[in-house]
Amino acid sequence: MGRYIARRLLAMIPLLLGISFVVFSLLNILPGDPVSIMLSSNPHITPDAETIARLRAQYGLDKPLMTQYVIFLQNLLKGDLGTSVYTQQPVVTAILERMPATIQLALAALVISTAVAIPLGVISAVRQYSWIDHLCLVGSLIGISMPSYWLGLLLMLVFSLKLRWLPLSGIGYLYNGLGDVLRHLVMPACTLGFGMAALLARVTRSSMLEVLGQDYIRTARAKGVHERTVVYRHALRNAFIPILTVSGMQFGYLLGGSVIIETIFSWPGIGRLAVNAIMNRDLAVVQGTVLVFTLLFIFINLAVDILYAAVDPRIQYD
Amino acid sequence: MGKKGLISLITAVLVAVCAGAALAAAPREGGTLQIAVKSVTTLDPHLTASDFDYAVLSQIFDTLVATGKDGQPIPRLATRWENPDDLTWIFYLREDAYWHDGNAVFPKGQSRPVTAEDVKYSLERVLNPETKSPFLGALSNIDRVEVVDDFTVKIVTKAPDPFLLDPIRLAGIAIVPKEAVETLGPAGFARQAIGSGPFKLVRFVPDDQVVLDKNESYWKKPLLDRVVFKIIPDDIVAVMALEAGDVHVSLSVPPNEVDRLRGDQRIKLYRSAQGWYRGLGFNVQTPPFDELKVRRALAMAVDIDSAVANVFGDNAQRAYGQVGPGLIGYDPSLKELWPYDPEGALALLAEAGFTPGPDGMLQRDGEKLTVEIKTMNEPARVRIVTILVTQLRELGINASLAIQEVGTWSADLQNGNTGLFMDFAYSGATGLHAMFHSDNIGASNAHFYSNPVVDELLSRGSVTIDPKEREVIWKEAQRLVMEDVVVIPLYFEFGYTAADARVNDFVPPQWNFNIVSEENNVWLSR
Repeated sequence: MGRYIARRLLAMIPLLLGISFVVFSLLNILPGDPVSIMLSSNPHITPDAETIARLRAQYGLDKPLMTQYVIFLQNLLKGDLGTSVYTQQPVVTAILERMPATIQLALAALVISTAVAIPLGVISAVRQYSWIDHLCLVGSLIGISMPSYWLGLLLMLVFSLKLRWLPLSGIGYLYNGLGDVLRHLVMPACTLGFGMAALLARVTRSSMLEVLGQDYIRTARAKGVHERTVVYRHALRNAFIPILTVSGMQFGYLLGGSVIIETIFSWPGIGRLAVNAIMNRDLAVVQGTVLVFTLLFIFINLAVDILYAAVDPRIQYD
Repeated sequence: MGKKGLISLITAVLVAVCAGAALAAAPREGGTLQIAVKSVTTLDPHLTASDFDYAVLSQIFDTLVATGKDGQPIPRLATRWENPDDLTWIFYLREDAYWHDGNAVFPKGQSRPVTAEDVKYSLERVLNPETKSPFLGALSNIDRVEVVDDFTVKIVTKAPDPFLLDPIRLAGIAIVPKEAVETLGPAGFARQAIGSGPFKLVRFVPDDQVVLDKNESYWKKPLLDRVVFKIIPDDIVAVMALEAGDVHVSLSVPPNEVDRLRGDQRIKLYRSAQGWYRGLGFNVQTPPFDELKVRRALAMAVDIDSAVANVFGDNAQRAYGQVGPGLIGYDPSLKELWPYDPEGALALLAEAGFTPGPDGMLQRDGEKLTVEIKTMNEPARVRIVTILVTQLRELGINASLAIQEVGTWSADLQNGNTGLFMDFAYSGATGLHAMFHSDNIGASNAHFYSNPVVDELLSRGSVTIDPKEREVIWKEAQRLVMEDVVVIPLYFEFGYTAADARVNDFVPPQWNFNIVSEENNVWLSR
């Protein structure tokens, strides 16, 4: 197991290099540069060609692409992801400041979606073609196809504008009490969790159906094992691998920050940071966030692989 | 009760009623004003060109002058100023302005007054290319800054500069303390701003909020205790936050929400004094737009009035030139240049050699008349251009719409990778110079338009102090540009700010955002 993990970690290096190079090239191929965008964002300021050229030179944007990339790699080795053209802040700080908000939201969404989806998926499979199965199907379809933007605004309209139960947007702080944190968290976490729950419920259902048709389930039932034990001990545990895979992937996406949810709920997370940086061609921030996303994804995949072994003793590494 | 008693009772009641009325109108002290802004990137006032950043920064920092309600400069750090000659400006500073204390640079009770040295330091910081300030160009006409005495500063310009006190010039350059910039470093100063303004920074949580407390020792005591800028990136959510009472002010109201908000008694709408110019621009070097007949025909072919009315209703005003209402050079008489005449347009195109082909589309030498209009992806602009494209297609012109991401759009305009496009919106007093002077080709002149007569007029107008004289020059230059059909002016778009009706003495921002100024002091009623 130890050797397996070490091997996986070593394999990360070429992957990270490759991804950073792709991001770097893509951003340079895209038209537009941070200086012109910054200057043209304000109708009062009239950029002259001279100012643009001087600022570009100062930010090192006039150097050849490969030189810029090599400088980036050298700094990366020193643990320096560069500085944002817009905020003058080190990229590392910008990312670290926003990670807690993103993790908070991702975890809450994961908890909500698994708590809803797995029981529903199991019930749908056990009572296949019953009214509850049909209801879950319709619910999942809505969940998968409904734009989160729309759902978010709808929740805001109902719970903030009409009922005044929950704050409209923003994040809560512990120094205002746990209640403040939870009240701010509910709507974005539900919006984010709903789409994920829909997918997860479908995966749970089909995986359960497959397992429930196996011979050993019939054997267990024939032996007179309690139905509850059959479903939860024998079937669910064996149906868990695809569920775990999907949850892991989804959690990876969630950690990347949900741009739309973060924007409408004014959530100070990492997704907004990345998208603003792309819009503004803030190269260092884009690079930094993409690298962090990549790292997180690799780690989550690794964790999921290790969990497989825990769920299914037949899976062994080395 | 006797007669006397009755009279005294009535008197007492009257006095009480009058006193009550007076109390109701009297400004109330205290309270927290919550303001929704789209973004706050940095608190270093010399390193941002975003008006949302500046809405926050104009509370923390002072400028030499501010822009008043009517767009004219009003005193701020400088109580008065004078011009001994066309090149020299002398500013007399107030002696009771102090830097915020209780922070890493000025411990509690150990502040010092803002002096002429600070003004010199701040302007020179902007002028130093190492600072990388986007305002460097705006101040480049400043030759030198001299300290006359502690509270008097002299600025000498290279050429006469009628725009020196404009919003983005001196009224937009914050005065900062040297100690803070040097002690905290650029990254630190961008987060722990220390200024001399009416409010001081309590905390800045990126992408979430900026909290400011009143500066007790400000020369005009703020009535509000606290101002919180809530960062709400989505305009519609910001409006909802206003309706829900989560915020008192929303600084950017999308045009399509304006009419709905108008019906809400609890909310007051404020229209910006100036309208932003919106128009189509030609790259006059790209065929076939290098032909005046083609440009004029395209301008005649579209029914701009109905397009603007359709998309904006009353929230925009039709434009016939580039200079907007309220600015020197605004010229409604240019209307005569822009008739809507589709028949005439086809006749002009026929003169230019474009005739209907077998498919009914206009063509010349087997090539269709193709017009691709590039625009950034902003809903109102996309809707307007869609209407115009539809009208052009009905006349047999192969028109289409290209919606671009803003960075791509801006790069295409500057590189000349264009034919017809939704233009830049440099709208202030110097907008005409920015957009049409040949010096600015490849930057703000995306038309690649070069006309020596226009250049001469614009150069001369930019150094003419007398507003009457400048108006004549500006109008002449504008008329020449419009006669050349370098652009098809569409409309002036007004910005809307919405505030809770309980917010009093509110003045919508115009780069400076005056919450406490010589002219006003915002307060909240219960």
